[in-house]
Amino acid sequence: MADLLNESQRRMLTGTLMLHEKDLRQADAWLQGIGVEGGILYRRTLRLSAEQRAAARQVIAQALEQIAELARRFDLQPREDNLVAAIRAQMQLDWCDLSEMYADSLKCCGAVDPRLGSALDPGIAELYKLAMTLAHLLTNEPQK
Amino acid sequence: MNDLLNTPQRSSLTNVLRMLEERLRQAQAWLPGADETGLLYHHSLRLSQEQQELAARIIAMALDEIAQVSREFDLAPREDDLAAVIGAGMSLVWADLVDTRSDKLNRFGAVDPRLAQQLDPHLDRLIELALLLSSLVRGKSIEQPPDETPQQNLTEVRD
Repeated sequence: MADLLNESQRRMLTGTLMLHEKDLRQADAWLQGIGVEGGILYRRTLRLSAEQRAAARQVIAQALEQIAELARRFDLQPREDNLVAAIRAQMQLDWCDLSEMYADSLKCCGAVDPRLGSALDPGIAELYKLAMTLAHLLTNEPQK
Repeated sequence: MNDLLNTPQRSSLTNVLRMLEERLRQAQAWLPGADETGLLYHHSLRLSQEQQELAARIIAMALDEIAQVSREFDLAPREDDLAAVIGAGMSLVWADLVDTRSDKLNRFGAVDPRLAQQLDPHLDRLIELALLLSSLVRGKSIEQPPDETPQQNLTEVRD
């Protein structure tokens, strides 16, 4: 069946199914209690009964079977994701966001208290520096 | 220092730091050398031992800094209802899957007339399962097991 799709169609189908697969696996992990612990600025809750969790996991398993069947039928190939590059890209996004959090930039959200700069900016500067350092560290990957 | 920020400023700062924290914790989880193979993806993270240790220290320092800023400005954590997150994700993928049916793939070139029969039933089943999962985690009752009456389940969820 692989010849029923042209390259663009194959790419579209593979991309959509891959994203769906990732969502399904993330949901399955949460339903097993993996990765639900909170942090400093977020709390995660999943209030489902054992029966609901089991039923949801059954649906996920069926969906993954459908994806496996489509991948086999159309010879869809897995994509290689380089997590080092992903972390680096995320840190670069965070620089941009953090640079908007200096007291001076917060004027966009209303009048800025004159004491804010000295209270907030050193912490933001430190986070900015750490994000840059992490991204820089990850630009030099070891040989595979 | 709680009084130094107005509500929108507090909200912006909290959101940016929360996103940074989530990304840092994700990176922290990947650092030991995450290798995950799915059906359609393969994740790998290859760092030297030295890079891993250094990255772990940087992440820990950044998380400490986030904790300190959060304490000083009394930033409150957000509650994430993962059932709602799963439900919303499944509702979104519904549209993507519909766009991948054979009649929509003509945006990418001529569609082989045999494709519909080979592709669409599986996509329809995936769409149905996504909606069913969305409904399940949101606590809506499902009267029939998912395998038995697909069309009925789909109708229930849409309703």
